[in-house]
Amino acid sequence: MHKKSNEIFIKLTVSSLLIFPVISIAQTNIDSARNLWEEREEVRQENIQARNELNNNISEKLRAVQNEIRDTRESLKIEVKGLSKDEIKQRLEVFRDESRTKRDEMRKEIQIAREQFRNKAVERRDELKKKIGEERAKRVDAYFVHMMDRIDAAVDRLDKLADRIESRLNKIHDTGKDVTDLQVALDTVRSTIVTAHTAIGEAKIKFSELSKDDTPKDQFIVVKEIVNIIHTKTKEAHAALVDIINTIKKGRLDVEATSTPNTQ
Amino acid sequence: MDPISIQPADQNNSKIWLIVSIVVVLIIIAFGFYFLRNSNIFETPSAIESINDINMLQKQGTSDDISAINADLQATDLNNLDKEVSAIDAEFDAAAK
Repeated sequence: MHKKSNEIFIKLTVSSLLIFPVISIAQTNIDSARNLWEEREEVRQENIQARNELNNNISEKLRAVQNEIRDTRESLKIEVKGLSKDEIKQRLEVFRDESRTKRDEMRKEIQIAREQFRNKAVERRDELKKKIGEERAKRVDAYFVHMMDRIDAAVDRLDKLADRIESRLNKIHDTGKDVTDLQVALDTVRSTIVTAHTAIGEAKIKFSELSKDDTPKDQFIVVKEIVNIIHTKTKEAHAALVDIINTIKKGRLDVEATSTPNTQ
Repeated sequence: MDPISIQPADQNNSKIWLIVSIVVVLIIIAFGFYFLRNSNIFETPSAIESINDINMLQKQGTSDDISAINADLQATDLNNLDKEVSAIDAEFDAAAK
């Protein structure tokens, strides 16, 4: 009996000695998997934060550029008083070139942000598929990307139409006609376009964060509200541009046409 | 040569060819399915339509002539900018069921 219990004791001891390394290895693997998951989550959060910052930076810069151009135009009106026609023309040309360059630089930054959003499609789908399944996550992302591409194209179109109208207003101004009110109206359109750009960035960020919520459908309501704002803003901008053109036509302000250098 | 002794070999050959053909056809079908699955053809039914919408919005003149600007303004359709919202909602509804 004593011998038998000794045998059981030895067997248990040997088994424990064999099991402990296995448990230890398993524990190590669980820990490293947890660490890896935490690291991935941290990287994901950093990426979201970086995108937020990028979007905020672009929005701030867009508004700053818009305000700077408007303020420079106003101060130029005072500065050129008393100058000869040639000097005024020269100053205006410099101002218009600088404005165009600043806007083009901003468009490049917007383009980079758009590319970044497209390039993160796999990351977004990987997160979302945990909540709604792989195929559905793919379709949802594809639908959203298509929608945002169309909205981007619409806002770009309005931006270019604003450029063409500005070019026309500059020519009308150069013939000595007063276009102050129309220029103010165009500034308002530019501000509305900036608001639309900002909202587009927000919609993309909120969509990227859908998987954070247990019910992405509820989180999507926020995205829909932002998309609705963008839709309203683009329609406002479009209607305001139509009004400017109608005012030019009614006031018979038109002069000979040319092509703008910075539109496609 | 005795024709009776050749017949089983012929039958075996034809069986092998039949199996090889079936395997080749199955491989082709598998490749086809894999290609279509990865090419995202089935992802969005409205993809082609959507690309056309985008192309229409991207197309515009460069003239600052009032009538040219007006024509492009009139051709600007902003009504369906958010049309995928309902499709996304439907996907979330189906996932919740």
